[in-house]
Amino acid sequence: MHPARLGSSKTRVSEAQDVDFLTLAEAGRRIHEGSLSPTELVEALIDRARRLDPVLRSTITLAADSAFAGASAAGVAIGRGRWSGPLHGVPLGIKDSIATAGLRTTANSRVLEHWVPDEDAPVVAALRAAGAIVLSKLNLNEFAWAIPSEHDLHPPPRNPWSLSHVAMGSSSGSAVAVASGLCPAALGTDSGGSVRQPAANCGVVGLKPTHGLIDAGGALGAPTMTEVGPIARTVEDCALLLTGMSPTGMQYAGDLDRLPSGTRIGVPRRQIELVEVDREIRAGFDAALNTLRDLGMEIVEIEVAGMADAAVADFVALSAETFAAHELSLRTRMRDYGRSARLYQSQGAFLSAADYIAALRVGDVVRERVDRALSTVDVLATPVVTVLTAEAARAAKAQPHTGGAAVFTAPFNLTGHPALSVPCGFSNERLPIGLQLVGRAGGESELLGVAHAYEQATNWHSMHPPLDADSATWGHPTG
Amino acid sequence: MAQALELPLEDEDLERLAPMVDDLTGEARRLRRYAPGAIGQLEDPGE
Repeated sequence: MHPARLGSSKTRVSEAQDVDFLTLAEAGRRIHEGSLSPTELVEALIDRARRLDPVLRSTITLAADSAFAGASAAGVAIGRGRWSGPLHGVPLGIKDSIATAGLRTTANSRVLEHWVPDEDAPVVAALRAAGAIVLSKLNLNEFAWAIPSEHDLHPPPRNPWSLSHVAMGSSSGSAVAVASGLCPAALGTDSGGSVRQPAANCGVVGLKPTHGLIDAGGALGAPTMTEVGPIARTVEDCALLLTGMSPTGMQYAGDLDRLPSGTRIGVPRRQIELVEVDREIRAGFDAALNTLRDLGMEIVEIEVAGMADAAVADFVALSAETFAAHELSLRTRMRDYGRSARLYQSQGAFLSAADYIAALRVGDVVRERVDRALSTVDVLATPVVTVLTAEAARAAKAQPHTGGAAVFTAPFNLTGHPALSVPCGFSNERLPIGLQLVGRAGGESELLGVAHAYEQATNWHSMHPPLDADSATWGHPTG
Repeated sequence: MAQALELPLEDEDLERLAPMVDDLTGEARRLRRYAPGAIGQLEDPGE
């Protein structure tokens, strides 16, 4: 289907769309109270995906049969009084580099085109145990590190806010599916910004948790800096998903409204000024700081020297670990990697052990500096990306080794601090812009609380892309 | 160097890979000068 036909297609909407854009929290509440069945919700989302995804290209595998089976079982269990919590019966999307038992997991690579894992990744198992249903496996840049192309196993997802642009990656399918109402929430992975950047680019919320908080086993990626993170349409939904993902039993959604008075937001202004940032992104960031100030928070300029070098170091260490993971496969199946992916996964072969260790040590130094900064403020704030589109990111810096568009996100992969992107506006071209907030290690509750307060003071999260004929007015707030 | 590593890359791949590797290794070596604990370390990580 040609993108131009999407907005004019005849569709059945209204009631169905109300269900399509339910937040995870609201869907869970309605399922619990019995006004919505898991099967009805799954059916509506599958119908929507079949209608819209030929253009959006966010989904690699739509797990209709197993999702209906899971929904039916959830409905029966809840009907018998065995409700297991706010995720029970709620369908989710999973990035296709995260293992799902009995469900094809391709990483969008011909290398894994037919791989069906025997076991779930621990984070998927945890969500299933909480009652969630795996609805779909979502598109991504090949092996979460490559420049996407039309020749990929699955060509790149389009940005639902502007179908002439592809979405930023690598968790592009997760962000597109959530923003487009194909699932209430999804999982992505983030090694340098791959949850936060697509979330910002698609107008949804994305969280990279503290290193080690969430078991990233079974998620293909470099172990030092890859985190599995939630992508959702609200901060509360991210908190609910994080609760289900976490083995600690921490209830992240319960404390969202308890923001302590005197919250201090640290802005590494000098480090931001050193980077070339799109004018509209800079304006959106400054406006977001004004909103935080209006909420009674104190905005404090701070120093975090070495952020740009930490971004470089993240990509050096990522390159080394990626090659270590792919070496055997590259030697035997090089031609099954895409033209870009084979280079990205190979380049770490040319690094020395000393390069790798130095990169990790730079991370140690900057981690201490971020910790020091966060002993004087509660949260750091920066832009998420430097440019508005995936294409601009590619043109501005073909290679990400100097941080490129990831200069604000990648440092916190190496330091391990939790960081999220929350929508903070739109460009003149109606492309979403995100605000990055960074918290103390293990400080997800506080971080989510600040983001929730900001979100509730704005209406960006209530905007949906104009994909349906009945909502063709841009930015029509559908609640 | 790719041949020395016995990576089955074709000439076209090597041509595209070379500038990526130059960039990556150049940045990695710059960081090595700053690595804390390195003998002869001169400077802190930059801005």
